[in-house]
Amino acid sequence: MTPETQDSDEITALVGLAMAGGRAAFERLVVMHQGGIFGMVYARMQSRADAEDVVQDVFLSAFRNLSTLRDPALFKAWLCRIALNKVRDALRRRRIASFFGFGRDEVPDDHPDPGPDGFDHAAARQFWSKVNGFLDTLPALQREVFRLRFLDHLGIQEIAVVMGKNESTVKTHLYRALDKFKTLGSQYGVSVGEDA
Amino acid sequence: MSTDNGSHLDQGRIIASIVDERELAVLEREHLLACPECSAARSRLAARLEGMGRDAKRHTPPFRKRIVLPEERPAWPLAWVTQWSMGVAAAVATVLIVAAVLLKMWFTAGFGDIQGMELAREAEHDRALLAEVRALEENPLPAAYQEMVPEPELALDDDFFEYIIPLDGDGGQNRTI
Repeated sequence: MTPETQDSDEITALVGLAMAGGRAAFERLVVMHQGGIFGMVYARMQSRADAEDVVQDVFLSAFRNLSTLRDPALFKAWLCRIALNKVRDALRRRRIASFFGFGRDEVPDDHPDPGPDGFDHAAARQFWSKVNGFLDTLPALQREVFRLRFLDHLGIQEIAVVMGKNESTVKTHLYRALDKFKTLGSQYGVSVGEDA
Repeated sequence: MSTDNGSHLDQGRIIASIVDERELAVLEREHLLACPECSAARSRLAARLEGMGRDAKRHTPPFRKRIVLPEERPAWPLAWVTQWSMGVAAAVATVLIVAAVLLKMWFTAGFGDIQGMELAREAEHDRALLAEVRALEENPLPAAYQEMVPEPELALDDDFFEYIIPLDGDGGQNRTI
């Protein structure tokens, strides 16, 4: 049994327990997924504080609506779908607040030096600027599929669930996005790891 | 097999193999496994993508917040009590509704009788009033004045006029008044 299968089986078992009312099982699921969901949200919001608030909201919503999950094996995809919806809501709120002049529109973390946790904000800003530069050249669906596949490390089936599309549609968008990545990726400096 | 020069996979097939290797035909898959050039081209693209994914993780700050979940749901016995009291409340509500409907029906019937009696009384009053009006039409004066006026049945016939103005022999033809 591969580690992925083992993880998947454990997650399915934990989801089953959580659905039966096991709070400890749900807390374990939170610990297992919070990093991934945070990464996903941060990549789209580019603000640590905002991303942390959204992640809290995602797990709260998942906890309250767990009974609506039909297939425990798709827990991760279901969670990602909630996260994407919450991100969309948060970005919309941010835009509205910015329009009325009492909020912030784009709030990338602005810390030039490595923080106390050793995180290099300047390098991160540079990296995300390149990635987002390339992603901005893609149409919305291609951009989302590309992000989910290569930045959030979801499989094709999971992406199909998250986006509510069928697998062949997901593959078509991914193919087109990759075609552009091959041509434009280097132009935006997103060729990290080419020689790895 | 889609190839650039008849022997290698073209860029489109390399990308398709990254999207999902099952998208390739069996011959293309076998070629990809056997051909070092095609295999290297695929690996380079895959490595770029993996590298970007790794860097994305590296350039994401650690998650510091502690997820707070809502309080535990009520314990099972308490939940049972809640359900039990809800059942009782529902039963009481049903009884009250049925009682209200029955009372309404009963009162409606009662009011019907009362309304009938009221109508009869009003009709009686109307009849009395009409009788009074008719009596006034016959004789509008109060009883005390009635003795002071001539007989109401006095007939102004020929005898009466003969008594007031007697006729002559000529039948009153030459009479001057």
